[in-house]
Amino acid sequence: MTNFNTFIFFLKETFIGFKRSTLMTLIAIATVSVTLIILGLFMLISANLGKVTQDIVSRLEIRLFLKSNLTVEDIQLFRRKLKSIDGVKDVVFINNATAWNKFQDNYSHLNLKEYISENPLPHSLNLQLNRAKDLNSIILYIKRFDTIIDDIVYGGELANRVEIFRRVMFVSGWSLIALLILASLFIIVNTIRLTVMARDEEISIMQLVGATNRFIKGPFLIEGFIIGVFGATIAVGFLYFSYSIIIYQLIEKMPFFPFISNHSTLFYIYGFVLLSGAFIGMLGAYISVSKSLK
Amino acid sequence: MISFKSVTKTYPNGFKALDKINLVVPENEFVYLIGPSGAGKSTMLRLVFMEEQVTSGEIVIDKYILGQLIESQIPYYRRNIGMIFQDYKLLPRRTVYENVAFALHVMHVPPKKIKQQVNYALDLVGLIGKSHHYPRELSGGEQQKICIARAIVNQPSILLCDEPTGNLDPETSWEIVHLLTKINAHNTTVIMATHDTEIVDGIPKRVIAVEKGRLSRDQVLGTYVE
Repeated sequence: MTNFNTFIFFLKETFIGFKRSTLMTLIAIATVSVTLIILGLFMLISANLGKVTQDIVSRLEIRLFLKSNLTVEDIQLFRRKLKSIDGVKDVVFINNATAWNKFQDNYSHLNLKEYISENPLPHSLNLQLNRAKDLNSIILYIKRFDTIIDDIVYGGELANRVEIFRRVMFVSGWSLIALLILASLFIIVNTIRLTVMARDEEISIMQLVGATNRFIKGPFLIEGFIIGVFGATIAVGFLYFSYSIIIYQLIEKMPFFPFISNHSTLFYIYGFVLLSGAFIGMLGAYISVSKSLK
Repeated sequence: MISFKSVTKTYPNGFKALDKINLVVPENEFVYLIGPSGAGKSTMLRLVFMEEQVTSGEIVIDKYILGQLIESQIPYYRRNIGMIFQDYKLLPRRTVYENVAFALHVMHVPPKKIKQQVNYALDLVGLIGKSHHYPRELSGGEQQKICIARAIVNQPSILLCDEPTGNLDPETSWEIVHLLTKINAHNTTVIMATHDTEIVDGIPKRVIAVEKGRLSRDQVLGTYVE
């Protein structure tokens, strides 16, 4: 009961605080909103770039041209063997007749049938990979089967570059997010500090009548939490509407790009922004009021 | 009981505010602490209230040895002591009632009991009819009464008064001191730092004089001038 009464007292004190420093509170909420909008925008851009990279990686494939003396059984056996390799997503058999028809279709203006009577293409296998980083090791492994494979074709350099880009994106992306959170925290600490400073006298009187530091911090932490959640809600609202509009336009203009439009990924990003707001608000208030209690 | 054992207080700039003070104030006593400005009266009160720490020596207040208290225990210790200030230290944007109730909120007193105790304290100081006023709407004497009500609302065993009549006219000063003697009669030890000759001579109590950080006189039923 005592804790409940204290919580009610904290809530009342929080709203008294809001009422008495309305302007400062609004500035603090606006600061949280702006910093979280920047954070959210960065996360959305980062997630989309990540998706594009992932898409490129998922399209990475190794083409194995097989020796002409192999039977269909040999090929199927080899296919199963390749499929069991860690990092291989799928192995697709491409019949040489199908490949030759497709090739002729692609170059129909050349009228190839007139010059080439026999199908010159061998059977082939298409390997799709889960991760670009496994490419080199898988190639090395496959090269051992030189009695089965005639030739190997793959976009080695591109794959390596994509993988490096993905890694740089991951490290720099999260470093930037961490930096943005720190910068947000710094701005919010100083904004909330102004509201705390306006009540420095009140804090010293609270100490004189025997208030514990925890008791003094209580209303400020709730205040920080509310400022954080309000600011974050505004930021999420802004991000949600602006992203929906922008992504709709982009999908229309560039349908081949795999932009993030599914709700679950966006839900995680917006949830992260909202939680960051609450966390940053409370932590900012804690740091601010702790400075006053020293 | 308040006990000072060879208490010395030296500030970081080297100024020695108190020099080997030995003193015992039994329970329920009324003591005037007199001396010129800068003599060390307020420092003595601040040490008892634990706003400052002794440089050497020991202060014992009832069951507390102040030097042994850790920082987190200080708020709980302070709840046994009321403090009255010359400049009142009231919360300007809270009503009379809220200013007094505030001291009980920090002690987690249930709301029903808060109302009961605040009304009792305001009745004692004669402000029950002005509980919804703000401090700025009241006179200096009335503001000091709010400060007194706040200090006694949790029935502390000791009341420290740092020149409580310093900003008041003579008539109001008398009113305040009569109020303090009334509180003293309700089993509260009162230590009052003052410059007011008329009050010290008019209501004779124990007088402890401090000069340049040393006790210069300790007299039962003393006067301002020896």
